[in-house]
Amino acid sequence: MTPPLLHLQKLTKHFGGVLAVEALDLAVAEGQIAALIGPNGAGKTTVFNLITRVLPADEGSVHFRGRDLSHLPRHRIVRVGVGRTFQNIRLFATMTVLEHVLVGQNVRLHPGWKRFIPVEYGEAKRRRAEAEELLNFLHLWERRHLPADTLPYGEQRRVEIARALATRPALLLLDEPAAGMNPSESRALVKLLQTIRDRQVTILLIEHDMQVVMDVCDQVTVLNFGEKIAEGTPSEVRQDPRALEAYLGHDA
Amino acid sequence: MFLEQVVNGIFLGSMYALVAIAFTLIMGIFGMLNIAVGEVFMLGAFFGMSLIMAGVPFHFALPLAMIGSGVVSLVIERLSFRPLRHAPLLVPLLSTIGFSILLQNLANIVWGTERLEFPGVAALPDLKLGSMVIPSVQFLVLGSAVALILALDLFIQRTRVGRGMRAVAENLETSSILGVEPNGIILVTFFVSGLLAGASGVFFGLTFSLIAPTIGLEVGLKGIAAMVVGGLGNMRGGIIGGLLIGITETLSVAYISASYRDVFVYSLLFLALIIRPEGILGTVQQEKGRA
Repeated sequence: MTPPLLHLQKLTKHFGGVLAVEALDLAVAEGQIAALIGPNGAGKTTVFNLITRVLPADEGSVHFRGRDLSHLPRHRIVRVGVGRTFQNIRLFATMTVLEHVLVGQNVRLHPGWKRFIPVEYGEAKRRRAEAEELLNFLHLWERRHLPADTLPYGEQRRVEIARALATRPALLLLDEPAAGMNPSESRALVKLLQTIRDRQVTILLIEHDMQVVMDVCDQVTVLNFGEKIAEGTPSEVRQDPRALEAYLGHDA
Repeated sequence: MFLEQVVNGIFLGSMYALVAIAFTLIMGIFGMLNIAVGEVFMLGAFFGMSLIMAGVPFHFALPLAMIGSGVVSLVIERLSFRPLRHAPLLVPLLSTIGFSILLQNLANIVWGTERLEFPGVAALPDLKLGSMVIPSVQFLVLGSAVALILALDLFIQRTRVGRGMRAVAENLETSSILGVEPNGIILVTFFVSGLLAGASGVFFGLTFSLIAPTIGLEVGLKGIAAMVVGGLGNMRGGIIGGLLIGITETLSVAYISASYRDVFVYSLLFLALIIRPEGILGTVQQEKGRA
């Protein structure tokens, strides 16, 4: 059996006296679409912050392709192949849609003197063609020269995904990609997630929209108060009494 | 006469604008003033003076003085900002105040406390427009200032490092998750800030012919005022604020009294703060929520 792409072991984080994530074990295999679900405040975004080193973990480890990420500086995480989006969209107000993708690509370009010149040739020029292809893929081509923060909400979410994909991640962390979407937008998102997976990108997403989770995920992990309370395929989790209780608020 | 004074004000304002942009760049990244920008400006003037007096032609002396000022700015980053990266923002502010006192006293030791004469640069003949006489040195100053601002705009808008600077200025955390290495970007920003402040110092020397270690404080405060009047954290705002303050200053010197010029300059600042606190080109900043 091949080792998982992402492997969290005993990952723990406190905020003062509050246990945000408690001894979490989680494995995501290459090519999967996995989901992290749970009530608000269950510690899902904290898990993303621990993986991407926005926060240091108190205990436990994060391994990606067998490599320990615990001591990498934050800006190196994307270099090993982990990209992410944010729950509350974080676009750059001074940048166009295309520029967001170009910033995302930065990480793969050689850090030389060419960074300091306003003309692009060679490698940078090829990357621009790639950027335009990516925008086409996410249906943002017509919008490429518009300031990203003037776009409608659903498109802003896609700009965030485009920016993360531009880093060419092997693993994409999506924090509530369907938040604020109507049912038809959510269906489009499900399709998009599948085509992203077809591009050899493994996905771990945090999601409240159960329809999206049920439609697209191979594996679901349920968190409650920082603790893993259930894990399995969507249909297994749907029948798990503890998951139902925590997530749907049913009385036991 | 009036028009001539307005033109003078634009020349003076272009120097304030450069200093305002030097402040704005660092403000953008840390949300905090680097008070020592004024002293980098002053050192730029002294570097330029020493180089020209040593026989270096102006077109080499200007870039060398700028680079020297850029290096001083890097030292400020290393000693005043980097060790305090995780301290409350007021701490680096205070540390840069200390740094400006240090730099001013260093200049006192090296160049003395007296006013020194900045050597003139033989350039083109003065331009006569009707009754108006515009000294050629002013063209040199304005032309160089405009060229520098355009080059900076191109750098920030069109290069990969420039995009990195914008990303870091907007959100350090998001940009580092995208792989932008923050320390490199911060160093470039401080260096560029120093280049601009240093250039402005050389232009100041050329225009007024006399420089002293105290000019940094005076011009630095006007650069801050220009930044606030134009709109915080906005390069174009710094340009407009700088020009407005330059023009106000020369007009009040010409028509009222030289000794009251600062009253008018800072009244403009107060007026701006009362009528339009976000600055002429500023937008009201809303704190974005963070998960």
